[in-house]
Amino acid sequence: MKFFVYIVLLTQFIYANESYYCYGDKKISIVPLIDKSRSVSVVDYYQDENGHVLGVSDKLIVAFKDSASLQTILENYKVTIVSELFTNTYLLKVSNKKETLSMANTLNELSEVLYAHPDFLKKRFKR
Amino acid sequence: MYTSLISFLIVIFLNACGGSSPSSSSINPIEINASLDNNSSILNEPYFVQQWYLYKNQAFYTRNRINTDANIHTGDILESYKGRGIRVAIIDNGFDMNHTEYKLNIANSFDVLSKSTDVSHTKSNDIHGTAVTGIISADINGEGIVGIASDANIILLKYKEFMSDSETIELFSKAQEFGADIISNSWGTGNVSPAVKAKIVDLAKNGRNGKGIVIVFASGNDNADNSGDESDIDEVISVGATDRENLRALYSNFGTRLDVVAPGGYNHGITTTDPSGSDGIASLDTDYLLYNDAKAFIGTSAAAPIVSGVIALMLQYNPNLTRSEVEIILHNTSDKIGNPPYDVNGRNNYYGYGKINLIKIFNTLKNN
Repeated sequence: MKFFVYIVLLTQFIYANESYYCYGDKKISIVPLIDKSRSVSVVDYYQDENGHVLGVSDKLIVAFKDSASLQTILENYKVTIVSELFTNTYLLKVSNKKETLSMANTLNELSEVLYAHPDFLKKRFKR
Repeated sequence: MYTSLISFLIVIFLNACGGSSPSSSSINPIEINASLDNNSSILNEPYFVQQWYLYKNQAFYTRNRINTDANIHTGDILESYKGRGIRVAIIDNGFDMNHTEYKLNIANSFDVLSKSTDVSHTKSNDIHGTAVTGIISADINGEGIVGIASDANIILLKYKEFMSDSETIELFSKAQEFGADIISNSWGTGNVSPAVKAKIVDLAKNGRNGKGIVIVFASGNDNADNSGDESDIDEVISVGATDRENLRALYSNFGTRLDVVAPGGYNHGITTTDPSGSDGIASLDTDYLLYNDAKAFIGTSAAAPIVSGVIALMLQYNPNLTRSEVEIILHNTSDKIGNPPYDVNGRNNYYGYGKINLIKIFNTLKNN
């Protein structure tokens, strides 16, 4: 029984550390939140180490160093363009929300990309 | 600080040389008095006496044991300057669009959910946007209170409580599209994304035809460091809260990028507007949240629009002021209140550069 518990904990640890997003040079670890409802959601939820809840849909935001890079990305990666948000910054879409984090992290590594991250959903706190 | 000081000296030098900033043609010399004339129409506002955050009414201050300097020292400036010609965008959770205190000032509106112009509050107790708006924009109409920038045009932008980064950017883009000079934010996520930060920085640096849109954020009410929050962005004016004792309110967030503090209340609330009639949460007057209401408006949410309103008056006085000049003037004119010592740059992490003082701001504007 103890062995089983250790395996579960180890699996959760590994799984948790697979989930991250990039903020500049930093990798921010996030832990998936289990959705106990039986409805199909278009958003997966995660929590960062400060307790912030982050929603991840099938969309991501990518900022390029120059406008010419967009076409290269569209040709070489399985993403489609949704809209231009502002200068050289685009809202892109992947086919499945499960790919959003890994696609954002992959694009973030590219030299022509300033930053890439999921189009996070976040709670606004009134003050 | 040295950078700030050098920038400030450059501003003074440019002004002395009749340079591009500010334009002397837009400036009207004014006489500033420490108190309102007895005939001032502002005194006809029934609840002005309890707007302790703006003005000292001796009897009210004595009765409520309010520190003599707890207000922002408006003197008679609200009579002469009302934010005319300045556009203030307010991003919040919904608004009473028909409130008689400010409905005539609404220039534009946009709801990010419905993509329509209807920004009415969703639930009757969603009062936050209405309360913020009254502080900035309530008319001098003899009905209740005076807003700091009572003639400013307001742009009402309704957010969703759980909202994506792209939707947040859409709201800031709308503010830009509607010609906002100032964007007032009494909210935060505690965790701003790179793209949202980039949009805010871009507007603060390049908006308003290159002069920079002045973006104000409340620092938050958790008595915690605001690192990583929207209010922690260097190009944003980050505002903490003070109480009736003219000290930092115990809930007010702090940090290395806190700019200034302004009244947010603690034991006494900030008298402002509440959704009219049966909507809203007010218990003493259906259309107003009074200072002593059981659900009085308290927080850095109240302090931030006070600063936004003050900036509207500054920009009316001199529309050519850049965002960084506004910031420098706020820093250099704020009162060094409170106990924590201020460093050689004139700031600390709990009060920023201190509490804003409108008379000092206008004296600086006038003398430059």
